[in-house]
Amino acid sequence: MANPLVSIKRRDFLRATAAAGGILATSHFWWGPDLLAQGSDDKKTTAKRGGKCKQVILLWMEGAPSQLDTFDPKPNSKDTGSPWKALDTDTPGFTPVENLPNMAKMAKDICVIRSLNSKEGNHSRGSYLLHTGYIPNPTLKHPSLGSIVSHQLGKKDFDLPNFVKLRGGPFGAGYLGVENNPFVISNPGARIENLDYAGGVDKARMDKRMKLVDEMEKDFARQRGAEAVEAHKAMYEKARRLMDSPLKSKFYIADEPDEVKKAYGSGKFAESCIIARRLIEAGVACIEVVLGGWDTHDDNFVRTKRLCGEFDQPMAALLADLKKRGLLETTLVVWMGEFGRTPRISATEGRDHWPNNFCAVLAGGGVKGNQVIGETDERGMTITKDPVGVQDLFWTFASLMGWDTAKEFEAGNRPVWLTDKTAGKPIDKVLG
Amino acid sequence: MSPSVRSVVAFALLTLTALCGVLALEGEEPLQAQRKSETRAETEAMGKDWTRARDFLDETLRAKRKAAKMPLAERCTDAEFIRRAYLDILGRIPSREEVKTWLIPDLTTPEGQEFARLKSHQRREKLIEALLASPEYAESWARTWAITLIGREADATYRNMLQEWLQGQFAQNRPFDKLVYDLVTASGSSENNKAIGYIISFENDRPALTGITSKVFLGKQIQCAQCHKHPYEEITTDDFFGVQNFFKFTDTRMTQQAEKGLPAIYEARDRSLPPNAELLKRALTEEGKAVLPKFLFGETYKLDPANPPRKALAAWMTSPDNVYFREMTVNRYMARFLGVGFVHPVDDFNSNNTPSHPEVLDRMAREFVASGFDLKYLIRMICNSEAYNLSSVPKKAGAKYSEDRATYSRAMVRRLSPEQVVFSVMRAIGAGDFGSKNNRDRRDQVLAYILQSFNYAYSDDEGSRDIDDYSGSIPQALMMLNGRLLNDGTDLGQDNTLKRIITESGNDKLRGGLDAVNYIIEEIFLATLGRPPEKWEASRMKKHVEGESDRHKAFEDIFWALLNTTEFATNH
Repeated sequence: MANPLVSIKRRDFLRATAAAGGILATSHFWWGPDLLAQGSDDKKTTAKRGGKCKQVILLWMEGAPSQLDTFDPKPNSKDTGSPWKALDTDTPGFTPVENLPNMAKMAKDICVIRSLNSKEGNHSRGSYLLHTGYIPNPTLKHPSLGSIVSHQLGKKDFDLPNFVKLRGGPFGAGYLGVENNPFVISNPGARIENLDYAGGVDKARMDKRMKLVDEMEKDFARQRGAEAVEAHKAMYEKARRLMDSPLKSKFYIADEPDEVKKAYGSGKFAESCIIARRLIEAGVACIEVVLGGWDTHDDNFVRTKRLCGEFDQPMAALLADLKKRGLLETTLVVWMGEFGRTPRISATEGRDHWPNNFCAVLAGGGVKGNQVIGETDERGMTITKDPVGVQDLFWTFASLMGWDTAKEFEAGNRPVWLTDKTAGKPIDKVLG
Repeated sequence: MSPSVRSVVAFALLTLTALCGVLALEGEEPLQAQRKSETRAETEAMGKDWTRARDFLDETLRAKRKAAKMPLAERCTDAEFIRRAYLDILGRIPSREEVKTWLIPDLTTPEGQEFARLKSHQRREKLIEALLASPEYAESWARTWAITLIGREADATYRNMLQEWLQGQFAQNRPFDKLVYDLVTASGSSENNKAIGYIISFENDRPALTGITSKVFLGKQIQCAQCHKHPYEEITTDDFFGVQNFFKFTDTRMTQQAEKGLPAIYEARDRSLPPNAELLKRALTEEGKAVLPKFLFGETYKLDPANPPRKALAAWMTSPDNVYFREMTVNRYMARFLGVGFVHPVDDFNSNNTPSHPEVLDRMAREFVASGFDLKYLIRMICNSEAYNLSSVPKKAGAKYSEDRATYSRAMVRRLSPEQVVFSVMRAIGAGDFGSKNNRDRRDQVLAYILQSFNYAYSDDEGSRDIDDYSGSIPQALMMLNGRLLNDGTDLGQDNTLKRIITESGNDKLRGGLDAVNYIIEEIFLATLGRPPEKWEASRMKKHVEGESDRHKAFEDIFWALLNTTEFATNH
């Protein structure tokens, strides 16, 4: 029952502060989150402001990659069933599976976390958690990592979208507003749908057409108020700017030198990694690249070997390429999926869902490389050292990039923050 | 329920209340409790004549506006009303033929002559009745409700199943309480009960099922209590799990994979209940703590094999005495038709977010229940109201949108949903034969293709179950600018509305005194914006035609441009 003693009326408070600033907080047509955001409260700031990291590439392993067949192999345990050897490196604890020879060579630049854990063993819930740092809540959409980066580090005056997603999938900006939504390229490398002028229409004809539109818009706004057309107009202007931008070529790899293409290897994921690097150079704040197929309930070894082959060379090449171009210091690269897989092999040579312990790989953007965080027991069943929660990971991102974690947003009717105030803290070892 | 039975129920409740020494359970209030402002006769007439509730709505809104000194917008034009009603009731704009039918009665027929004699509000009432009687009403509302219930990102199999079932329900105007009861309690195989589409879409994610069910049907956002006490409501994690545990014994699964073009088969089943209270408690114990099913702010469920938990929850939810359910439903329909509900956001009723017009919400909700949870009765109340008939142009220039909105002083400018855009564009360009039965398969194929590409463009609206709340995005704009649907739809090399207009313009009789260019421009406006052009618009478009060497290209430009205006992209 409503408590009559609750004296702080959240909405009234928000309305009053907004009105004082002359802002229409209740308007249907607000464009951008800043109108609803409250000012920072320094006392609440826990993440360090102004990190080194300016851009992010998220390599999303969709379906939940097996930790045992990638970065936390247990060659001495029979239960896990894995036929793989582990590779030795100079980095203590870093013994990737033999199917990752290129990544093994990148040891100096990467930080492997072997002790990530959560309670979410269902794909949609786990993906949500690892994308947003919050457990799912059907009545509220939290922004995904890319959208937060777009909001916090994205350029205001820019031809390209600040968050590009190579291959589809859900998870968008939530309360951060449409301009931080991912621009989704469902088939990376191919011509992007609707980005070019339609047949029979060139720029001159489009300009004439838009002139007619603009005159109609003006009249509509004159009668019904400017806010009625603002969102529509802003969206069209951004779309046209993108259509006419020379940066559009960054979405394709045709003009990339052959030796670069060769270094990344072949396949969609390799191509996507090149596009990601090109977009980093162009200044896009976050690119998410998706590699699907990790839900290995059966035939685990054949499938994980193939998948390792798909990401090992491109990811290593991406890190080396960024480093060579001096971009790795300011670009965080994250490799992860929604959870891990059962250490015990099933009758169908498969591994089922296992959120109890799984891996993530971080590199660049101020991450201290050449280290492994966390440890699991010999059978891979239990975390024996430095457990890392998903919220810890997000607090770490916040620190690396200096997110404004004190800023309070309003989603629906309730206050909400970029990182979960009730759980987690930055992982000191990652920050170095 | 007859009045005498009702008073017995009311009496029983009163007795119970007296016995317990507390007020009636939160959320339960006998429907027939007479309000101070009402006479006995008024209370008893409820649900039988929507005009009384409509009048009450009009009068109360007027009084509130007067108190707030808010000037009232003009009544909207008939053309505006026709477009608005088509969009709201059928989910698409009217074709130019339909606009003309309702705007310019055909005086050569007796029906047309009779229609011409009607007053404006009577014509509008007739239009509303005609739209409610159309099969498209069921189709459109099934689509809308499926999205509200399971979202756009849900698997197409679930959505198709749910949509098909809902369409049947809306086609027979099934009482809403019964419809919701069936949805919440649905079980069996997808082969014979498509209503399970709702439950199975959650794939055993019970917290989500609980959160959505509570939010959509009761307007109570209890989800955050899943992890911690609600920030400003007295809702605890136990309350949340209390509701969730009504679903504890329900499982869903796929029983047969899709193959050879046949869809997968799913089922929803309830496990048998523990035989006694002690074992029930044990079955519901997690981490050392038992949380029994408990109605929101209400009593704890008592084990009864004849009344299993899910049925008990559905019965409680849809009871005529459940204030949450009836007020939430009315609020949703108010928001859908008028752009804002008495409670806003539409499904967030809480002590810090109380109704702007509680007395009207109360009255309309009780009328709705007394009508037998008749959704068409509710729509009649709203669509025939003064507020729904207002222009979206404010009375005074520079009026504050939020103030107009809070007092219903003008019609709101509402963005069309992706589905409304698709069906409206198709209607405007004349794509697909919507009337003929033979074309259904072909039509469904075309629709599936178009909706898929729109879904791509609108994919970032994922999770937006609030169907009236869009702000648009770059892919959407790109689709409207460069997409095939619009460009082919306005290309005179294709068969489309524009081509038909050009052909007609060669026929003197059809032009009715207009020259060909003026005729074409006027028809383009009717086809896209559902109204004839203003004087300045007609001359501006004429100027564009005269400035182009290729007239046909100029007409294509005009048709295309009007489809890309805010006026087209909104319901105003």
